[in-house]
Amino acid sequence: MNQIVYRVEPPSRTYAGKELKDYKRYKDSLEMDFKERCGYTCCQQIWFGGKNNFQIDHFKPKSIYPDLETKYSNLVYSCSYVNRAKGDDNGKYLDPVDVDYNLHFYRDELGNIFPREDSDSAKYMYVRLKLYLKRYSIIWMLEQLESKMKQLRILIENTGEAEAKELFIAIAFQYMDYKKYLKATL
Amino acid sequence: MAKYKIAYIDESDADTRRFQRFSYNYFDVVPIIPNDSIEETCNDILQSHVDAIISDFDFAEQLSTVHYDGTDLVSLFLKKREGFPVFILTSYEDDAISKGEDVNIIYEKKEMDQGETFLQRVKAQIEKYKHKLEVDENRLLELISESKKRKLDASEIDELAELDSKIEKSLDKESRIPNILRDDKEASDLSELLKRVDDLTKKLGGDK
Repeated sequence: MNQIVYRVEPPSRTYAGKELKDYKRYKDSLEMDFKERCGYTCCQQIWFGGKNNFQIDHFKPKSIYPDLETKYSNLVYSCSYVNRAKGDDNGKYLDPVDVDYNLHFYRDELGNIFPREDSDSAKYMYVRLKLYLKRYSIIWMLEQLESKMKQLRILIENTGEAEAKELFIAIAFQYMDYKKYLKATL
Repeated sequence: MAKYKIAYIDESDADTRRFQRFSYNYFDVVPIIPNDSIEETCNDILQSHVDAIISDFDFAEQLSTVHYDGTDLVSLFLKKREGFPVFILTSYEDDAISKGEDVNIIYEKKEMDQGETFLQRVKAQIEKYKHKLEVDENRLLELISESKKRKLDASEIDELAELDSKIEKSLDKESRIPNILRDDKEASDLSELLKRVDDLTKKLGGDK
């Protein structure tokens, strides 16, 4: 099985303003710092209905660490699936900003997520956060389709190659079908 | 073992305190006061990461600005998390039942004066729900692990898709993916298509 890199661009935490009383008010900053993606699964928020349906996870649970409830360094921009699956669990999680997830997770060529054998934390997170769910491979595939369309467009513009045009049409049709099905559920 | 965490939704402070006293030995109670917006109340419950919900029926008794009741709230919650343990505890059992709700989730507040049967039932329901999810998850992980070693047969592929969908709906039913997209054959065809783009790019020497 081909192992594909888990994520290309890691998130960061750049907010340097004052500490806010309500952690939900950090959402715009988190959206930007996490590049509109779930910190754990790397999925873009557009496939979940956008920012409104994205959530803020407390890396260390606020029920156990109330002092960290409004600390920006403890917040992770997250999809509803991961946030609910994690709940108040205080297990062996890897902070998506501090840790290079590519050393702990990989994808197969269909976009399915897998933990690396030598990472106990990744194996724990894989089950606990339910990173095995099919939705993550489908959303990854959609992003690939998008990026291949861009790649083909450049090829068509540069070479006018008939095969590139034919592939572009095939991929655009698949992309539109996927998008149609996903939109129907949002 | 740690106590389960329950969201108790009631507009009455006195009733909330009464429930907390009643359930002290069984549950950690997160009291939630109904907000004017049902969506916001629902989000408060989701964010509290509880194991079950117990809601009062009639919020308008003391909060005239709240225009939904406990059955509306648990129905909305179940649209987001399928199969989650929910209960209505009410002084007006007949009203709740006449709204056509599942009679199995509706109990009278006087249960609080009649021993711990209700609490045992809630605990049993939470354990049943968790156990079922765990069994489904273990079987799904087994199938995923098998699929890495060999080609699954048709019934196993069906079972895998079914379990994946069930676990997904238990977390968020609203943003779930349609079953038609769970087809691995389709994904493999797509993967081939993606590879052809890379091959073509290489052949034509175009920029990536």
